[in-house]
Amino acid sequence: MVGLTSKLSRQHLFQWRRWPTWARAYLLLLPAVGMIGLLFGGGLILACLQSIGIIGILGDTQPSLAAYGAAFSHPELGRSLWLSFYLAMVATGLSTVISIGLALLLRSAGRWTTIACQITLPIPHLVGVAGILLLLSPSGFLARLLMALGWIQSDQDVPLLVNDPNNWGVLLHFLWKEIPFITLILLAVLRGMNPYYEHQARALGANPWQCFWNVTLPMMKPGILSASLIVFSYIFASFEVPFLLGSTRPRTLPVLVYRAFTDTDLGKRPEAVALGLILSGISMAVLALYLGLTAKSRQTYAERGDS
Amino acid sequence: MSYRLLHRRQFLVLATAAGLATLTSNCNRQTATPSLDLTTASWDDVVAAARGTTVRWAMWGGSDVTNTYADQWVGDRLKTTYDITLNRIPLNDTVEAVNKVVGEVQAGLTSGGDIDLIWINGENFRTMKQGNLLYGPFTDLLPAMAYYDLEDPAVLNDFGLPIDGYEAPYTGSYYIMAKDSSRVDATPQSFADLLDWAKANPGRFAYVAPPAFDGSRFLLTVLYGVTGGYEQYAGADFNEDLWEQNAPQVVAYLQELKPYLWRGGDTYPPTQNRLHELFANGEIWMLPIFISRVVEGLTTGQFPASTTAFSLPGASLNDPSFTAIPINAGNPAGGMVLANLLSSPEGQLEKFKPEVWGDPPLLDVEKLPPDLQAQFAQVTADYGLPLQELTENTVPLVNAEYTTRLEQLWETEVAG
Repeated sequence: MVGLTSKLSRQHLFQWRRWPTWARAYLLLLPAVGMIGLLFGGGLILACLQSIGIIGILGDTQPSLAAYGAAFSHPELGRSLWLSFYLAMVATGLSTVISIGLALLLRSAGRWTTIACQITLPIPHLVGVAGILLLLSPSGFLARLLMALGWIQSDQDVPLLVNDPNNWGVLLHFLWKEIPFITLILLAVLRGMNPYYEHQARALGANPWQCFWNVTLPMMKPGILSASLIVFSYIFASFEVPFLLGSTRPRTLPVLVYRAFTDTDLGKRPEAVALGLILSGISMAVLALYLGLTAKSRQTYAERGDS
Repeated sequence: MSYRLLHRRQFLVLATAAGLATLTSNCNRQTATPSLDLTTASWDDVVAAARGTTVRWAMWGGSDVTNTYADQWVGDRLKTTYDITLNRIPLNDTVEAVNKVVGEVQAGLTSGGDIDLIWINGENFRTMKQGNLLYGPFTDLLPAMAYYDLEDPAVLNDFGLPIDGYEAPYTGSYYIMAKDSSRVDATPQSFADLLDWAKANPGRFAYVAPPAFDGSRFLLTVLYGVTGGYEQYAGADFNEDLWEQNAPQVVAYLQELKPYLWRGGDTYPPTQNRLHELFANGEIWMLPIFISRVVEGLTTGQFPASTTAFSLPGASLNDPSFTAIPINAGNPAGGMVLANLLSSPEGQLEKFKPEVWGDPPLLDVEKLPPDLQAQFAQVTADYGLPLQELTENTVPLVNAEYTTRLEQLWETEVAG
């Protein structure tokens, strides 16, 4: 009886099912969005206030944009930005292309492929970095092997692959970590696809390349785009890998931000926060651009999926 | 179906409620001990206030031996003697703790903060003192201070800045040099010798990329070594004219050295541990290093047994460090008890043991009772390095502004 009453009154009060779908969707999203908004958004607002001098530790609370001036004229900003872009682009591009090939190869292999691709997922980046160091540093496992084989005479003959000016170590680490991740997603996409489209294309005379280019790849596209987007934004803002494996100079933007934020001069704080906000702004702009550019293809896929 | 939906909805509501409850309970957490009036409190009051609490100690966490010393000996002593639980907060760089205190104070958390004690010295101490972020003066209350020579500049000043009772003495570190004597015959006695050796052995010397703290120490030794000694920089103030006049010599030296560094100076080891690995693996044969790290490397077998230490007279550093309590510490009494334990003869003796940490004592051994003096003498005899000989020609650190300027100079002129 009590249960019935409460259920009735609740239906009466909320009339949940009469709400438009969008309103219900937003309401259900509220806990998640609220949490992110409070913790992330709140932090962002505080950071903004610090960067324009409204909150200050040293007592000077003159609002000004001086910190942004200092951040934008930071002598390393340009190089750091370019390096972060370069690393994110190259690592994402290479791992995406390799993953597409790998996924196609492994498409009809057994379930072990999915398990194999998941092996690297739970390994933290820090452990991966330690592994790269043990393997590739000039006195690492590989160098010792070459020395034992008599191919090299001294550790100084080994090309530098960690902390090197070309950031090979960083790129290798990200390839190792991200190729299985993208392959995993693409395998799921490929295995969920209706194979008859491809059979039909081949039956109608398409050669394997035409079949891949005109049928398989377009159907894989949403998976490729979302996976590469995740990877790109992660690498662009990654701190620990370039900090431990990257070149001393130039530094990636996150490493530069860390350096500015840990400057012992408290007067540098607003500049550091401004640099951090510039990094966030660029990340978000890149995401928006990417989503905007790819919106069309997703639209096409959605229509095709509906039909 | 509707039954399942209801369940899911209930789950969501419950989850949200639980999340919010956690958040609010965190906000309302009460950790503060009864506040102490430092002018009237006695040491017994401090100990009474600290009993049964948890003390949170923020310290650089990049060394296994220091972490083990803190977790085991210090943690056990706090628990058995004072019923205090130690919560060690590991840091990549001490400035992170400074940042946390700054952040808390900015956010209005002027008491009940999350750090009760920081292992600190140098520019971080200056930052906190300058920002009015330190609790104290408190060292007059500590019984352990009876064993310190209060005339000794190493105990009175931190990087030339008067301590004024805001820091308790902790480590008696020295920043010297080490080499693998099975590969290196020469023992450089000056920076000119070092440069000659590096030119004859390209790629076999390295230092950590500043502003990591020991990289910055190397820059300071270069400043002393190539511009005519440390005395001119002593004193409380930073001398702008002197800096402008001498900085070019430092840059010139570092740039001349650069092509002969590990990997031609194209890159630098990013952390102290990485530098030590290079030495352990035989990639470099000579390095600047803290004395306790040489002892640790020899004791654990990480470094070759042929490793020997030497100092550059007038340039190697007498580099003590301290502990300080943030102004907003949630448990300042616990922080003081911990600081006292670290300064105490027992604490200084334990960390001096080569198998524990190998860090030399900062206290004045002559002020100790005879039995303790004998124990210190025993550890000195077992130390594995000629401590007296290595440290007698070391010099103190000067105003932290010199270090800051050296770091900036290195970033713009040397790292490229």
